[in-house]
Amino acid sequence: MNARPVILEFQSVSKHYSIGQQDVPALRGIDLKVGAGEVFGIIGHSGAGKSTLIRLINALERPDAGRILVDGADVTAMNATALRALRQKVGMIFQHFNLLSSKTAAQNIAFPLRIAGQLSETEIQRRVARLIERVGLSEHARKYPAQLSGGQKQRVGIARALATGPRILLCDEATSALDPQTTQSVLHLLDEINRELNLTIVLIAHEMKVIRTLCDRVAVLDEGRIVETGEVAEVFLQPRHPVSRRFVSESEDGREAYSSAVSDHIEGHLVRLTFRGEKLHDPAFGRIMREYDMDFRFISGHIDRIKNMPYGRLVLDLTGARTNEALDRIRGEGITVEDLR
Amino acid sequence: MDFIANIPWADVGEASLDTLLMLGISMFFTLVLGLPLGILLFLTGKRQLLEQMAFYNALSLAVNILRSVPFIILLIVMMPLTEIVVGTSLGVAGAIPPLVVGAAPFFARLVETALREVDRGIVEAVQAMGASARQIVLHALLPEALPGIVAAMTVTAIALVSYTAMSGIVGGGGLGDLAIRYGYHRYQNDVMAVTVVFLLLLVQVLQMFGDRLMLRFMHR
Repeated sequence: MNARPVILEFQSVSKHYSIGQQDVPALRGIDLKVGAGEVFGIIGHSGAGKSTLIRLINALERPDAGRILVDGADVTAMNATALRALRQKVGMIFQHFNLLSSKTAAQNIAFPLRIAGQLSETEIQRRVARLIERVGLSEHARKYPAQLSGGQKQRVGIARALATGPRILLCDEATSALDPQTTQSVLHLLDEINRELNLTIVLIAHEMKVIRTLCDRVAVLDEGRIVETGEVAEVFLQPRHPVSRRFVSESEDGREAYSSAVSDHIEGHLVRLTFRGEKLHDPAFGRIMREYDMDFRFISGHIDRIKNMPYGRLVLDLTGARTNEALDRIRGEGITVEDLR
Repeated sequence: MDFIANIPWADVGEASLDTLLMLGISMFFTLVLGLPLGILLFLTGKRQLLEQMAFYNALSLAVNILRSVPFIILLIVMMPLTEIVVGTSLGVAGAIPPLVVGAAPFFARLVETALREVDRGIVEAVQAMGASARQIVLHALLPEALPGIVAAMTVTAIALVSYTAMSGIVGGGGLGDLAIRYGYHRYQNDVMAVTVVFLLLLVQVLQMFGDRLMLRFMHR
């Protein structure tokens, strides 16, 4: 979180639903802090409680216990007036966009401003024009949602959520209804907006792909509990909890599933090396291999990026008399080494 | 030529006017009473903004009772009340209160259904913007449900046309009454045929106008 001021905090928040006679726990003892300007992801399977969790932030849902602080103010203790002010500071976008079908794109974006009723009509028009331009839909301003594509609808949703100048943007599975290409362009837009406005973004997703494209930090939610929290790079490259591992391997598409045929012929030491950021461009690895007279065979490898950090991963079959010494040196260079045997 | 000469055109003209008058006035009051009633039914229903199940159940029962009474019975039972409200239980004026009491609950139910058709996600999105319950109803729910409400108005207006046919019982006049008096009591089938054609035309026009209006508001 690197010394960002905290803008959102959950303090031992719990929530139950009663379905008939049954008491179903939705969230159990949630503690988390989100820094201003941060993009914070919450990943979980459906039913894990992420939908409830994000709705607690703008008080669309109420907790049974615990406190939720937005900018230091407890949303659970707010009266109607305070809640109105809170909701103007917290924008929200949705999986199914939830635009008003009876209003044009421009009217949808103007809607929260009209509701707030603080600006003159000319000021509203000016702000709507600027927002619609920002999301690249100027020529579609007068179209109704039914005339727009999914990606365009979500852009209208984003512009609408930004209209009141919020400090936090909540994204409820905002790209789950979009195709992969549109998803990328919407995520890119959110990333730009996060930088331009230093806007805090809290998003929920059931796919690691979305998280690793956009988020700085992530919390893994399972059965109403946060089982792991951390920098996305750490959780993605070194997941500790089984649930996190499953999410990572789903997003990896079996990229590292080297065939058993290959692993049957391992002659030396099977290791996985992870090069983060600058380490990718560092020739240290080759130097050490030569220095210790090591041989290696490639089993698998790839280069990719997590948010803005490039990283590389190699699975190697190492042979040589001084393998352990060589591996220690590699570790010393800041390259992560994992023993796969 | 005989056919045209046999028809009492003056009576037909007056009856048409009476029908339109009864339809117009009762439709107006049906909307004025039925729309808020429908909104109230919707809002107090299960899992809605102002959920109030005891109130909803009572209101719903009252609506069902009024809807289950045949209109002809309503016309007679309501006579004393009608006299208090409009000063007479006879004529066009005497027909209006029963027409409204018969149609408003029907229309309210249709409005409730139209409002339920609005995507819950839209209500949630508008709530998330900090809208009050009043703003949600006026600026989101009603505009979104407008095509459905217009369709409900069309159905209600047409139901009212057939209700007015029974108002002859209280001397309300109108085309339906004319059909019974000439066609049934005097065996003048030609008069009956003319009134039926007029009623058919009226229903056609209402339906066409209603459909056009609905399409105008429909952007889905």
